[in-house]
Amino acid sequence: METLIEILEDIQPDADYETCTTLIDDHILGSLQIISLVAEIEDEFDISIPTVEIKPENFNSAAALWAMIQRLQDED
Amino acid sequence: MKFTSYISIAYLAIFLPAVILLYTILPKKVRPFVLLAASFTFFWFISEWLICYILISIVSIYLIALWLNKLKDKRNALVKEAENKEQKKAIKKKSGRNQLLVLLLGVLINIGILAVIKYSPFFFVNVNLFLKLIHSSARVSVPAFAAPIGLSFYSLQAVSYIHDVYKEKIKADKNIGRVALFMSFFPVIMEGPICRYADTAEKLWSGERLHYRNVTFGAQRIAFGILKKIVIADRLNIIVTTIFKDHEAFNYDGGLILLGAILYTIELYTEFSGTIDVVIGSGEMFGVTIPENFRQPFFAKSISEFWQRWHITLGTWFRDYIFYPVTMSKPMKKMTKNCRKKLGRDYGPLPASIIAFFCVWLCNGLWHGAGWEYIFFGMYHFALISLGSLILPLSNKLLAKLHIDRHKLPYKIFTILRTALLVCIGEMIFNSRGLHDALGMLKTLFTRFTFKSIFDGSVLSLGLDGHDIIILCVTLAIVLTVGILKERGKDPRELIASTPIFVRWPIYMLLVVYTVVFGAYGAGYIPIDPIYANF
Amino acid sequence: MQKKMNPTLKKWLLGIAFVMAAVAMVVLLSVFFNEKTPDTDALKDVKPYGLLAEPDDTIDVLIFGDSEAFSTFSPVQMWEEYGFSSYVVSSASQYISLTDSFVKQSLAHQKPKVVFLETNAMFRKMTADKPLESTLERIFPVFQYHNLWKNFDPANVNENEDDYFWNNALKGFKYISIVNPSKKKDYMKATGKRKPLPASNESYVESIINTCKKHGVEPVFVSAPSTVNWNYAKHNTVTDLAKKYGVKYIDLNLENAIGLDWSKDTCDRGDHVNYFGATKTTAYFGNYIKNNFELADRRNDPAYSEWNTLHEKYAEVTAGSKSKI
Repeated sequence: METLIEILEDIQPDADYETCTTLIDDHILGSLQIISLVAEIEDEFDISIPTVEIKPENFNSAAALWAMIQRLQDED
Repeated sequence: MKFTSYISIAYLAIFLPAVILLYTILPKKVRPFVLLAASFTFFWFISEWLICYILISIVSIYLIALWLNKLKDKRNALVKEAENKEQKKAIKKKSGRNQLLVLLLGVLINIGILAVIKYSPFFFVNVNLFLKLIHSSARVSVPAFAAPIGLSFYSLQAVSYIHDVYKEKIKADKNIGRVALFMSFFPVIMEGPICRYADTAEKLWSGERLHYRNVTFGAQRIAFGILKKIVIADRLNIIVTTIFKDHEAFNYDGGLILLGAILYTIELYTEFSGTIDVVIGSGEMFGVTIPENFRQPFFAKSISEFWQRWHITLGTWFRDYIFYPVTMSKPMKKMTKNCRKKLGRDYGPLPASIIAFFCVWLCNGLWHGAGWEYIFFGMYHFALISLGSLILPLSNKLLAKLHIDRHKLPYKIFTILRTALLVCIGEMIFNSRGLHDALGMLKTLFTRFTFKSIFDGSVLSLGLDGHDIIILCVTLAIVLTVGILKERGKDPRELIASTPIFVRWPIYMLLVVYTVVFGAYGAGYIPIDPIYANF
Repeated sequence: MQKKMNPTLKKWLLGIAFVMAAVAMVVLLSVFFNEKTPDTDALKDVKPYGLLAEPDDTIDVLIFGDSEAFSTFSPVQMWEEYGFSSYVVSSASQYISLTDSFVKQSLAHQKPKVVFLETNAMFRKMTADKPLESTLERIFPVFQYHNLWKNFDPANVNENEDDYFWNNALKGFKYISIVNPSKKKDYMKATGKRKPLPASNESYVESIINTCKKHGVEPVFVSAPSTVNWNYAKHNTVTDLAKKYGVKYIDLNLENAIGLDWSKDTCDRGDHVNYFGATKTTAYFGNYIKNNFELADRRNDPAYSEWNTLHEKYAEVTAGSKSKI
């Protein structure tokens, strides 16, 4: 989880990732940031994120992202 | 009987009420078939035998989806039996390749029909131009196809259905009736919005009874849509047509061209969003939530935000089926990773996105029509959005230095106006009679810009008198007020509905009277044909 | 004790009540917006109802049609040259169903010798809505006359000079001075082909002819010169129609004596003639009318003294041969 927060902060510094649950809805993460984010996460956690997973529910909060990462790790 | 628009007596006063009546009196089980029969009848009225094309699309995606399902079931069974991880991976990989081939076959059929009907004449005309250019005497004959109405809309729905089945977002539907109704539902067939199977199919087929609230709210939305179209769009049509048709002959100055661009953008918005109000209102009456296509687009603070608020369902279609598949493809992801190392946080994701933006905007331009002016329109937005992403980090720094807060009102207003201006210029290209005409107008805009003809009154000789201008301003103020309310998260319909009947009814009645008296219809007015139905 | 009404039913009944109230409102509006509105003077400003502002039974020749009619035929010129009164009742992109309504309405006020029907509108394809619209307009006049709201403030009447001229002083003619040449020369190549009328359009032509005959007026077909809109296949169709209904037909596209020069006499590449083309065509057409129908020369008739003043306005409007902007 901490690594994830670090990645997020590197991509888009000004946001409170611990509490925010509207990263997509409030346009904190735009499509450019999502592209970077997916690339970094795949690299860091050695998973592959299929395009179906790229939906607001999975990207709106750090917690949701984390849940997705763990799910994908288990599936592998 | 022939329909040309949802905003017509034939649709609003005869077709829709007849469908509602049948839907109410027949039992729940039959209702989906009422909608399906109504949709096919509607299609027949507009396109007659061209209905074959949509039937081919329906059957093809129905079968392709079932085929995909079968492949997936087979894969799952094999994976269960597999002994180790390696084997599982191999099975998944093989099945994945087969599934992809089946998906591509489905895409080929549906996009193939679209491409042949819509783009082959354009393609061959350009082949001939090329042959002429290289002084070859050979010429190919240019084919001409009659396009069924709504082709550009339902083809995209077809692709989204099989793609979502392929990606396991949804299950393949065993009921061909439901697939057919999802594809052909009469309110959305002509001008969208482009629906997703997961959003509408279930509800459409449920045969839910009519609810008073749905019917009245739907009717109100339809009434507001009619107001926007016949009071504003049809009235503006007079002056817009004059400016775009005569600007060369009369040598209009840049001020008038800009006025034309702004008014055309308003006309396009009120026509398209007005029609969509009628469409969504019609769906609402049957309890079906059709996705929104507009979210106060002129409050957008950047071009990319504008496209998240204007023709939303087209934008999200391109995002989900072109932008992400391109940027998330393996080589692109690799490129992004490398670029982030070399170019840093801000510019790292740009190369991949710019390639994807190019694909999206080329397709977007072409989707609107087969012609160079539409490609130009797409490239204009591609350039603006790419430039926007490129200079964003710089402008952020600059703003910080100048101590300007992005979230302060004056800066917000500046960005909103700037975006609107850029959009208007884009729509001017869009409405031009061709690439040459578009460039000519742009040149006038930048080289001969004066406000002379706007202030010396000659603008009044273009077909609108003072009365018309007053009505336009009042009606636009109403539309703006509704927009501001919605932007603040308030639904004007809810607000009015919560008032007592002696307040509510006069408001509704005023809406009716206003439209009947101030509508730009009847002798002397030429209503615009639905602009988006031809795409 | 009475049972309370089912709340759902009550809501639906209220909804139906609202719809009925709305219809009642439209009926009420129709009381204000119709051709019998006391202030008929206001009607002259509403295109193309200018004819209603003319005194009853004063017009000798009526011409109906779409934009081809108002850009080609100039009543003031015909008055000056031949001494009969005429009026062009036309609107842009007019549908034949609307022409039918206009003929009925006009003949209720005027008793002309001859009614000309410009043929271009016969070929305009109608949507399902057109007949429905005409029906609705007949039942609820507000749908036809709603634009009268513009004249409810008498201070603003005739504020726009263009409208003023267009509806009154020019008697339905539209002055267009731009030159935008046409390259098409031989658009009237003889052929045996026929361009069929769109479905149900003929029934309106028939209705127009019947209305004329009922009023004892002779209907005549006329085709205005247009390289874009006219061709021999359409000419053949109209010739057949004329024969079928025993109506005279003059196709001005075939009258070379008019002497049109398509490099100068059109405003939009042959779609319509401009003022220069209209002057030539009107001179020829007026002469045709004079020779074929017995019309009195009214130039010395004191009842028509107003017509003798029209040339001043006409000269004023047509003085500037250059565009306004």
